[in-house]
Amino acid sequence: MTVEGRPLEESELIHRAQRGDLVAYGDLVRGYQDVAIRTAYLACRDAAEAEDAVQEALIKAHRALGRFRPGAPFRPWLLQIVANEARNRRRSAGRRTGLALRVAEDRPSDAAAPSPEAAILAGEARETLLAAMERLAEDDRLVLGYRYFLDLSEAETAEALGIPRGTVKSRSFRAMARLRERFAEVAR
Amino acid sequence: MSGPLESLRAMTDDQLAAALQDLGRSVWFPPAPADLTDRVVARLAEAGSRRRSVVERWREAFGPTRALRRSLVLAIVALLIVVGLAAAVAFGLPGIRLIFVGATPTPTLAPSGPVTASPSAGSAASPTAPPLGADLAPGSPTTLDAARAAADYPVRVATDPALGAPDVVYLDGSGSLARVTFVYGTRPGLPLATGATATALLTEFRGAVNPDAFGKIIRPGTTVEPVSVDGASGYWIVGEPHDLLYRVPGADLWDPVRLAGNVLIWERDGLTFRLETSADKATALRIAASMR
Repeated sequence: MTVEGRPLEESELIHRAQRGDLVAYGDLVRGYQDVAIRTAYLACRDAAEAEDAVQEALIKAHRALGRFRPGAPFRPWLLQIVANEARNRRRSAGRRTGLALRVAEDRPSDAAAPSPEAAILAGEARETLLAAMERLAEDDRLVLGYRYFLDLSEAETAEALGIPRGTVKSRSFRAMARLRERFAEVAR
Repeated sequence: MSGPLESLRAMTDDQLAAALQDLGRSVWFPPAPADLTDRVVARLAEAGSRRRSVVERWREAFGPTRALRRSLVLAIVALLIVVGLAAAVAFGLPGIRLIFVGATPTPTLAPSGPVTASPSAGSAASPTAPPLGADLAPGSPTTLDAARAAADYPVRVATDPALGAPDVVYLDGSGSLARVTFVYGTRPGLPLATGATATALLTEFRGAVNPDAFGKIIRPGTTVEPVSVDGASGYWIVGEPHDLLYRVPGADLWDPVRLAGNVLIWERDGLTFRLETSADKATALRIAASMR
Protein backbone atom coordinates (compact mmCIF):
# COMPACT_ATOMS: atom_id res chain seq x y z
CA MET A 1 0.00 0.00 0.00
CA THR A 2 2.87 2.35 0.66
CA VAL A 3 5.17 1.40 -2.17
CA GLU A 4 4.27 1.41 -5.84
CA GLY A 5 5.17 -2.01 -7.14
CA ARG A 6 7.35 -1.02 -10.05
CA PRO A 7 10.77 -0.07 -8.72
CA LEU A 8 12.69 -0.77 -11.92
CA GLU A 9 10.42 1.29 -14.06
CA GLU A 10 10.48 4.15 -11.59
CA SER A 11 14.27 4.26 -11.30
CA GLU A 12 14.47 4.33 -15.07
CA LEU A 13 11.96 7.20 -15.21
CA ILE A 14 13.93 9.09 -12.59
CA HIS A 15 17.12 8.53 -14.52
CA ARG A 16 15.56 9.80 -17.72
CA ALA A 17 13.88 12.73 -15.98
CA GLN A 18 17.21 13.75 -14.45
CA ARG A 19 18.61 13.91 -17.95
CA GLY A 20 15.95 16.40 -19.00
CA ASP A 21 13.27 14.08 -20.34
CA LEU A 22 10.06 15.91 -19.49
CA VAL A 23 7.82 13.11 -20.66
CA ALA A 24 9.55 10.74 -18.26
CA TYR A 25 9.12 13.31 -15.49
CA GLY A 26 5.41 13.54 -16.25
CA ASP A 27 5.09 9.76 -16.11
CA LEU A 28 7.05 9.68 -12.90
CA VAL A 29 4.91 12.13 -10.96
CA ARG A 30 1.54 11.39 -12.53
CA GLY A 31 1.09 8.36 -10.29
CA TYR A 32 1.58 10.51 -7.20
CA GLN A 33 -0.72 13.39 -7.99
CA ASP A 34 -3.58 12.03 -5.87
CA VAL A 35 -1.52 11.48 -2.75
CA ALA A 36 0.18 14.83 -3.40
CA ILE A 37 -3.16 16.65 -3.45
CA ARG A 38 -4.17 14.94 -0.21
CA THR A 39 -0.86 15.77 1.41
CA ALA A 40 -1.25 19.40 0.44
CA TYR A 41 -4.91 19.53 1.45
CA LEU A 42 -4.23 18.16 4.94
CA ALA A 43 -1.75 20.99 5.42
CA CYS A 44 -3.52 23.93 3.80
CA ARG A 45 -7.22 22.95 3.94
CA ASP A 46 -8.21 24.68 0.77
CA ALA A 47 -8.85 22.75 -2.44
CA ALA A 48 -7.65 25.44 -4.84
CA GLU A 49 -4.65 26.21 -2.68
CA ALA A 50 -3.79 22.53 -2.49
CA GLU A 51 -3.86 22.25 -6.27
CA ASP A 52 -1.64 25.31 -6.68
CA ALA A 53 0.72 23.99 -4.04
CA VAL A 54 1.06 20.66 -5.82
CA GLN A 55 1.71 22.34 -9.17
CA GLU A 56 4.36 24.57 -7.64
CA ALA A 57 5.86 21.65 -5.75
CA LEU A 58 6.12 19.59 -8.92
CA ILE A 59 7.94 22.46 -10.61
CA LYS A 60 10.30 22.77 -7.64
CA ALA A 61 10.81 19.01 -7.49
CA HIS A 62 11.82 19.05 -11.14
CA ARG A 63 14.36 21.73 -10.39
CA ALA A 64 15.67 19.76 -7.42
CA LEU A 65 15.72 16.43 -9.23
CA GLY A 66 19.46 16.62 -9.76
CA ARG A 67 19.88 16.39 -5.99
CA PHE A 68 17.67 13.33 -5.66
CA ARG A 69 19.76 10.38 -4.51
CA PRO A 70 19.34 7.45 -6.91
CA GLY A 71 17.87 4.43 -5.17
CA ALA A 72 16.12 6.47 -2.47
CA PRO A 73 12.34 6.22 -2.26
CA PHE A 74 10.87 8.89 -4.51
CA ARG A 75 7.40 9.26 -3.01
CA PRO A 76 8.35 10.67 0.41
CA TRP A 77 10.97 12.90 -1.22
CA LEU A 78 8.27 14.38 -3.43
CA LEU A 79 5.73 14.60 -0.62
CA GLN A 80 8.15 16.57 1.52
CA ILE A 81 8.35 19.22 -1.16
CA VAL A 82 4.56 19.19 -1.48
CA ALA A 83 4.01 19.41 2.29
CA ASN A 84 6.49 22.27 2.63
CA GLU A 85 4.91 24.19 -0.19
CA ALA A 86 1.41 23.73 1.23
CA ARG A 87 2.40 24.72 4.77
CA ASN A 88 4.31 27.76 3.55
CA ARG A 89 1.35 28.88 1.51
CA ARG A 90 -0.98 28.55 4.41
CA ARG A 91 1.36 30.46 6.69
CA SER A 92 2.03 33.24 4.23
CA ALA A 93 -1.71 33.61 3.69
CA GLY A 94 -1.90 34.17 7.45
CA ARG A 95 -4.65 31.62 7.84
CA ARG A 96 -4.70 29.62 11.01
CA THR A 97 -7.67 27.51 10.14
CA GLY A 98 -8.89 26.19 6.85
CA LEU A 99 -11.89 24.17 5.90
CA ALA A 100 -12.70 21.44 8.39
CA LEU A 101 -12.28 17.91 7.17
CA ARG A 102 -15.53 16.13 6.58
CA VAL A 103 -16.69 12.64 5.79
CA ALA A 104 -17.47 12.19 2.11
CA GLU A 105 -21.10 11.44 1.22
CA ASP A 106 -20.13 8.26 -0.55
CA ARG A 107 -17.18 6.06 0.07
CA PRO A 108 -14.87 5.97 -2.90
CA SER A 109 -15.74 2.94 -5.00
CA ASP A 110 -12.20 1.61 -4.83
CA ALA A 111 -12.07 1.75 -1.04
CA ALA A 112 -11.07 -1.40 0.74
CA ALA A 113 -13.71 -3.45 2.46
CA PRO A 114 -14.60 -1.98 5.83
CA SER A 115 -12.43 -3.28 8.61
CA PRO A 116 -13.97 -4.66 11.83
CA GLU A 117 -13.13 -1.33 13.48
CA ALA A 118 -15.22 0.46 10.90
CA ALA A 119 -18.20 -1.57 11.97
CA ILE A 120 -17.65 -0.39 15.54
CA LEU A 121 -17.06 3.18 14.40
CA ALA A 122 -20.29 3.90 12.66
CA GLY A 123 -21.96 7.27 12.28
CA GLU A 124 -21.62 9.32 15.39
CA ALA A 125 -18.35 7.82 16.64
CA ARG A 126 -16.81 8.49 13.26
CA GLU A 127 -17.86 12.15 13.38
CA THR A 128 -16.59 12.43 16.94
CA LEU A 129 -13.21 11.03 15.97
CA LEU A 130 -12.89 13.40 13.03
CA ALA A 131 -13.96 16.39 15.11
CA ALA A 132 -11.40 15.43 17.76
CA MET A 133 -8.70 15.28 15.08
CA GLU A 134 -9.68 18.76 13.98
CA ARG A 135 -9.13 20.11 17.45
CA LEU A 136 -5.52 19.00 17.60
CA ALA A 137 -2.65 21.40 17.12
CA GLU A 138 -1.16 21.42 13.60
CA ASP A 139 1.87 19.27 14.42
CA ASP A 140 -0.25 16.59 16.05
CA ARG A 141 -2.88 16.73 13.36
CA LEU A 142 -0.37 16.39 10.56
CA VAL A 143 1.55 13.52 12.07
CA LEU A 144 -1.65 11.52 12.58
CA GLY A 145 -3.15 12.68 9.30
CA TYR A 146 -0.11 11.71 7.22
CA ARG A 147 0.41 8.50 9.10
CA TYR A 148 -3.18 7.24 9.10
CA PHE A 149 -5.36 9.23 6.71
CA LEU A 150 -2.75 9.04 3.94
CA ASP A 151 -1.42 5.65 5.00
CA LEU A 152 2.19 6.83 4.90
CA SER A 153 4.72 4.67 6.70
CA GLU A 154 6.55 6.02 9.71
CA ALA A 155 9.63 6.68 7.57
CA GLU A 156 7.59 8.41 4.88
CA THR A 157 5.78 10.55 7.45
CA ALA A 158 9.17 11.53 8.90
CA GLU A 159 10.49 12.57 5.52
CA ALA A 160 7.31 14.36 4.45
CA LEU A 161 7.31 16.38 7.67
CA GLY A 162 11.08 16.82 7.68
CA ILE A 163 11.48 15.40 11.19
CA PRO A 164 13.46 12.42 12.51
CA ARG A 165 11.74 9.07 12.58
CA GLY A 166 11.96 8.91 16.35
CA THR A 167 10.06 12.19 16.56
CA VAL A 168 7.27 10.69 14.46
CA LYS A 169 6.99 7.89 17.02
CA SER A 170 6.96 10.14 20.08
CA ARG A 171 4.78 12.79 18.48
CA SER A 172 2.24 10.19 17.34
CA PHE A 173 2.13 8.72 20.81
CA ARG A 174 1.46 12.08 22.42
CA ALA A 175 -0.96 13.10 19.68
CA MET A 176 -2.98 9.95 20.36
CA ALA A 177 -3.18 10.89 24.04
CA ARG A 178 -4.31 14.41 23.20
CA LEU A 179 -6.82 13.00 20.73
CA ARG A 180 -8.40 11.03 23.56
CA GLU A 181 -8.62 14.21 25.64
CA ARG A 182 -10.64 15.82 22.85
CA PHE A 183 -13.25 13.07 22.70
CA ALA A 184 -15.17 14.35 25.70
CA GLU A 185 -15.05 17.95 24.44
CA VAL A 186 -16.49 17.19 21.04
CA ALA A 187 -19.02 14.57 22.15
CA ARG A 188 -20.60 17.10 24.54
CA MET B 1 -24.81 10.24 24.32
CA SER B 2 -22.24 7.98 25.95
CA GLY B 3 -22.37 5.30 23.24
CA PRO B 4 -19.89 6.59 20.65
CA LEU B 5 -17.79 8.27 23.29
CA GLU B 6 -17.47 5.09 25.29
CA SER B 7 -16.62 3.00 22.24
CA LEU B 8 -13.84 5.44 21.35
CA ARG B 9 -12.51 5.56 24.88
CA ALA B 10 -12.44 1.80 25.13
CA MET B 11 -10.09 1.50 22.18
CA THR B 12 -6.41 0.71 22.53
CA ASP B 13 -3.96 2.89 20.61
CA ASP B 14 -3.70 0.22 17.93
CA GLN B 15 -7.44 0.06 17.55
CA LEU B 16 -7.62 3.83 17.42
CA ALA B 17 -4.92 3.87 14.75
CA ALA B 18 -6.91 1.37 12.69
CA ALA B 19 -10.04 3.45 13.19
CA LEU B 20 -8.20 6.56 11.99
CA GLN B 21 -6.94 4.65 8.97
CA ASP B 22 -10.45 3.57 8.17
CA LEU B 23 -11.81 7.06 8.78
CA GLY B 24 -9.17 8.43 6.37
CA ARG B 25 -10.75 6.44 3.57
CA SER B 26 -14.04 8.23 4.09
CA VAL B 27 -12.66 11.72 4.52
CA TRP B 28 -13.38 14.00 1.59
CA PHE B 29 -10.31 15.16 -0.30
CA PRO B 30 -10.34 17.36 -3.38
CA PRO B 31 -9.82 15.24 -6.47
CA ALA B 32 -6.60 15.83 -8.40
CA PRO B 33 -7.47 17.33 -11.80
CA ALA B 34 -6.73 14.73 -14.47
CA ASP B 35 -4.47 17.12 -16.37
CA LEU B 36 -2.55 18.40 -13.36
CA THR B 37 0.70 16.70 -14.29
CA ASP B 38 0.31 17.61 -17.95
CA ARG B 39 -0.08 21.26 -17.02
CA VAL B 40 3.10 21.08 -14.96
CA VAL B 41 5.00 19.45 -17.80
CA ALA B 42 3.70 22.09 -20.21
CA ARG B 43 4.86 24.82 -17.83
CA LEU B 44 8.30 23.22 -17.58
CA ALA B 45 8.52 22.93 -21.35
CA GLU B 46 7.47 26.55 -21.72
CA ALA B 47 10.05 27.68 -19.19
CA GLY B 48 12.65 25.74 -21.18
CA SER B 49 11.73 27.50 -24.39
CA ARG B 50 11.65 30.89 -22.70
CA ARG B 51 15.23 30.33 -21.69
CA ARG B 52 16.08 29.70 -25.32
CA SER B 53 14.19 32.72 -26.55
CA VAL B 54 16.20 34.96 -24.23
CA VAL B 55 19.24 33.83 -26.21
CA GLU B 56 17.37 34.60 -29.39
CA ARG B 57 16.39 38.07 -28.24
CA TRP B 58 19.95 38.75 -27.20
CA ARG B 59 21.06 37.63 -30.63
CA GLU B 60 18.52 39.91 -32.26
CA ALA B 61 19.88 42.86 -30.27
CA PHE B 62 23.04 42.65 -32.31
CA GLY B 63 21.34 44.00 -35.41
CA PRO B 64 22.91 45.04 -38.71
CA THR B 65 24.12 48.35 -37.21
CA ARG B 66 26.32 46.39 -34.89
CA ALA B 67 27.58 44.07 -37.55
CA LEU B 68 31.15 44.19 -36.36
CA ARG B 69 30.32 43.38 -32.76
CA ARG B 70 28.03 40.68 -34.00
CA SER B 71 30.72 38.98 -36.04
CA LEU B 72 33.08 39.23 -33.09
CA VAL B 73 30.52 37.48 -30.91
CA LEU B 74 30.00 34.85 -33.57
CA ALA B 75 33.74 34.33 -33.80
CA ILE B 76 33.97 33.86 -30.04
CA VAL B 77 31.04 31.45 -30.08
CA ALA B 78 32.64 29.54 -32.94
CA LEU B 79 35.91 29.41 -31.02
CA LEU B 80 34.13 28.11 -27.94
CA ILE B 81 32.40 25.45 -29.97
CA VAL B 82 35.72 24.38 -31.49
CA VAL B 83 37.31 24.29 -28.04
CA GLY B 84 34.32 22.35 -26.74
CA LEU B 85 34.50 19.90 -29.59
CA ALA B 86 38.22 19.46 -29.09
CA ALA B 87 37.66 18.86 -25.39
CA ALA B 88 34.89 16.41 -26.12
CA VAL B 89 37.06 14.51 -28.54
CA ALA B 90 40.15 14.67 -26.36
CA PHE B 91 38.43 13.53 -23.17
CA GLY B 92 35.91 11.27 -24.81
CA LEU B 93 33.03 13.17 -23.20
CA PRO B 94 29.61 12.02 -24.16
CA GLY B 95 27.75 14.16 -26.68
CA ILE B 96 27.80 17.91 -26.47
CA ARG B 97 24.48 19.35 -25.46
CA LEU B 98 22.83 21.02 -28.37
CA ILE B 99 20.31 23.76 -28.11
CA PHE B 100 17.86 23.23 -30.87
CA VAL B 101 17.13 26.71 -32.09
CA GLY B 102 14.39 25.58 -34.41
CA ALA B 103 12.26 24.32 -31.57
CA THR B 104 11.62 27.74 -30.09
CA PRO B 105 7.86 28.03 -30.20
CA THR B 106 6.62 30.60 -32.64
CA PRO B 107 3.14 32.10 -32.48
CA THR B 108 0.54 29.55 -33.39
CA LEU B 109 -1.88 30.02 -36.21
CA ALA B 110 -3.09 33.57 -36.64
CA PRO B 111 -5.11 34.24 -39.76
CA SER B 112 -2.98 36.57 -41.82
CA GLY B 113 -5.61 38.46 -43.78
CA PRO B 114 -5.91 38.51 -47.54
CA VAL B 115 -2.32 37.93 -48.49
CA THR B 116 -2.28 36.52 -51.97
CA ALA B 117 0.27 33.95 -52.81
CA SER B 118 3.07 35.06 -55.04
CA PRO B 119 3.40 32.60 -57.87
CA SER B 120 7.11 33.11 -58.26
CA ALA B 121 8.88 30.23 -56.63
CA GLY B 122 11.31 30.78 -53.81
CA SER B 123 10.89 34.51 -53.56
CA ALA B 124 9.61 36.61 -50.73
CA ALA B 125 6.38 38.55 -51.22
CA SER B 126 6.14 42.30 -51.81
CA PRO B 127 7.78 44.58 -49.25
CA THR B 128 4.45 46.06 -48.12
CA ALA B 129 2.58 42.85 -47.25
CA PRO B 130 4.21 40.24 -45.04
CA PRO B 131 5.36 37.24 -47.06
CA LEU B 132 3.05 34.27 -47.21
CA GLY B 133 3.43 32.12 -44.12
CA ALA B 134 5.27 34.75 -42.07
CA ASP B 135 2.87 33.99 -39.25
CA LEU B 136 3.33 30.25 -39.67
CA ALA B 137 6.95 29.50 -40.36
CA PRO B 138 9.90 30.17 -38.06
CA GLY B 139 12.85 32.13 -39.37
CA SER B 140 13.17 34.56 -42.27
CA PRO B 141 12.22 34.27 -45.93
CA THR B 142 15.06 33.24 -48.17
CA THR B 143 15.66 31.27 -51.35
CA LEU B 144 16.01 27.53 -51.77
CA ASP B 145 19.63 27.95 -52.82
CA ALA B 146 20.44 30.05 -49.78
CA ALA B 147 18.75 27.52 -47.51
CA ARG B 148 20.76 24.73 -49.10
CA ALA B 149 23.95 26.68 -48.61
CA ALA B 150 23.13 27.36 -44.94
CA ALA B 151 22.15 23.85 -43.88
CA ASP B 152 24.77 21.17 -43.32
CA TYR B 153 22.42 18.53 -44.68
CA PRO B 154 21.00 18.04 -48.14
CA VAL B 155 17.79 20.08 -48.18
CA ARG B 156 15.10 18.22 -50.09
CA VAL B 157 12.06 19.69 -51.71
CA ALA B 158 8.79 18.13 -52.87
CA THR B 159 8.61 17.53 -56.59
CA ASP B 160 4.97 16.52 -56.70
CA PRO B 161 3.27 18.43 -59.54
CA ALA B 162 0.13 19.13 -57.48
CA LEU B 163 2.26 21.21 -55.13
CA GLY B 164 4.83 22.55 -57.56
CA ALA B 165 7.53 24.88 -56.28
CA PRO B 166 7.09 26.49 -52.85
CA ASP B 167 5.88 30.07 -52.71
CA VAL B 168 8.18 31.08 -49.88
CA VAL B 169 11.17 29.38 -48.31
CA TYR B 170 11.97 30.12 -44.67
CA LEU B 171 15.27 29.46 -42.99
CA ASP B 172 15.78 29.38 -39.24
CA GLY B 173 19.26 28.77 -37.85
CA SER B 174 22.13 27.34 -39.83
CA GLY B 175 24.43 24.36 -40.06
CA SER B 176 23.11 21.37 -38.14
CA LEU B 177 20.55 23.61 -36.47
CA ALA B 178 19.08 24.84 -39.72
CA ARG B 179 15.37 24.43 -40.08
CA VAL B 180 13.93 24.94 -43.52
CA THR B 181 10.21 25.50 -44.03
CA PHE B 182 8.48 25.61 -47.38
CA VAL B 183 5.16 27.41 -47.55
CA TYR B 184 2.71 26.59 -50.32
CA GLY B 185 -0.14 29.00 -51.12
CA THR B 186 -3.33 28.10 -52.91
CA ARG B 187 -3.09 25.08 -55.19
CA PRO B 188 -5.80 23.85 -57.52
CA GLY B 189 -7.25 20.60 -56.18
CA LEU B 190 -5.76 20.97 -52.72
CA PRO B 191 -7.80 22.34 -49.80
CA LEU B 192 -6.65 25.37 -47.86
CA ALA B 193 -6.00 24.74 -44.20
CA THR B 194 -8.75 26.15 -41.99
CA GLY B 195 -8.32 29.85 -41.38
CA ALA B 196 -5.03 29.96 -43.24
CA THR B 197 -3.81 31.22 -46.59
CA ALA B 198 -1.54 28.25 -47.08
CA THR B 199 -2.24 24.79 -48.48
CA ALA B 200 0.78 23.13 -47.01
CA LEU B 201 3.73 23.72 -44.74
CA LEU B 202 6.71 21.46 -45.19
CA THR B 203 9.50 21.58 -42.63
CA GLU B 204 12.78 19.72 -42.39
CA PHE B 205 15.45 19.73 -39.72
CA ARG B 206 17.86 17.52 -37.86
CA GLY B 207 16.17 15.73 -34.97
CA ALA B 208 14.16 12.68 -34.12
CA VAL B 209 10.53 12.10 -33.40
CA ASN B 210 9.78 10.80 -29.95
CA PRO B 211 7.03 8.27 -30.62
CA ASP B 212 6.81 7.34 -26.92
CA ALA B 213 5.42 10.76 -26.31
CA PHE B 214 2.60 10.61 -28.80
CA GLY B 215 0.21 8.89 -26.43
CA LYS B 216 0.80 11.47 -23.74
CA ILE B 217 0.61 14.75 -25.52
CA ILE B 218 -1.86 14.15 -28.28
CA ARG B 219 -5.28 15.29 -27.14
CA PRO B 220 -8.34 13.11 -27.19
CA GLY B 221 -9.92 13.15 -30.62
CA THR B 222 -6.56 13.03 -32.35
CA THR B 223 -5.32 9.83 -33.91
CA VAL B 224 -1.76 8.82 -34.66
CA GLU B 225 -1.24 6.16 -37.28
CA PRO B 226 2.18 4.69 -38.07
CA VAL B 227 2.77 4.84 -41.82
CA SER B 228 5.52 4.08 -44.26
CA VAL B 229 6.71 7.02 -46.32
CA ASP B 230 8.48 5.58 -49.31
CA GLY B 231 10.14 3.04 -47.01
CA ALA B 232 10.86 5.46 -44.16
CA SER B 233 8.88 5.21 -40.93
CA GLY B 234 6.47 7.97 -40.20
CA TYR B 235 3.23 8.95 -38.51
CA TRP B 236 -0.01 10.33 -39.89
CA ILE B 237 -1.68 12.54 -37.30
CA VAL B 238 -5.29 13.58 -37.71
CA GLY B 239 -7.42 15.67 -35.40
CA GLU B 240 -7.16 18.81 -33.39
CA PRO B 241 -4.11 21.04 -33.52
CA HIS B 242 -1.54 19.86 -31.04
CA ASP B 243 2.08 20.18 -30.14
CA LEU B 244 4.65 17.70 -31.30
CA LEU B 245 7.51 16.47 -29.23
CA TYR B 246 10.96 15.90 -30.66
CA ARG B 247 13.96 14.29 -29.15
CA VAL B 248 17.13 16.28 -29.67
CA PRO B 249 20.36 15.62 -27.82
CA GLY B 250 19.78 16.17 -24.14
CA ALA B 251 16.15 17.11 -24.17
CA ASP B 252 12.63 16.70 -25.39
CA LEU B 253 11.21 19.76 -27.02
CA TRP B 254 7.72 20.81 -27.83
CA ASP B 255 6.83 22.36 -31.08
CA PRO B 256 3.39 23.59 -32.03
CA VAL B 257 1.77 22.49 -35.23
CA ARG B 258 1.02 25.70 -37.06
CA LEU B 259 -1.52 24.87 -39.70
CA ALA B 260 -4.83 23.60 -38.42
CA GLY B 261 -4.65 20.52 -40.59
CA ASN B 262 -3.32 17.02 -40.62
CA VAL B 263 0.32 16.22 -40.10
CA LEU B 264 2.53 13.68 -41.76
CA ILE B 265 5.83 13.32 -40.00
CA TRP B 266 8.67 11.05 -41.01
CA GLU B 267 12.35 10.48 -40.51
CA ARG B 268 15.03 9.78 -43.02
CA ASP B 269 18.81 9.90 -42.68
CA GLY B 270 18.72 11.61 -39.27
CA LEU B 271 16.38 14.29 -40.54
CA THR B 272 12.80 14.87 -39.58
CA PHE B 273 10.31 15.98 -42.18
CA ARG B 274 6.93 17.38 -41.31
CA LEU B 275 4.15 18.07 -43.73
CA GLU B 276 1.19 20.03 -42.41
CA THR B 277 -1.72 20.04 -44.78
CA SER B 278 -5.47 19.74 -45.08
CA ALA B 279 -5.02 17.26 -47.92
CA ASP B 280 -5.91 13.61 -47.35
CA LYS B 281 -3.49 10.88 -46.35
CA ALA B 282 -2.94 9.50 -49.85
CA THR B 283 -2.05 12.96 -51.17
CA ALA B 284 0.22 13.66 -48.23
CA LEU B 285 2.04 10.34 -48.70
CA ARG B 286 2.40 11.04 -52.41
CA ILE B 287 3.86 14.48 -51.74
CA ALA B 288 6.19 13.04 -49.11
CA ALA B 289 7.42 10.37 -51.50
CA SER B 290 8.26 13.07 -54.07
CA MET B 291 10.94 14.69 -51.88
CA ARG B 292 14.18 14.99 -53.80
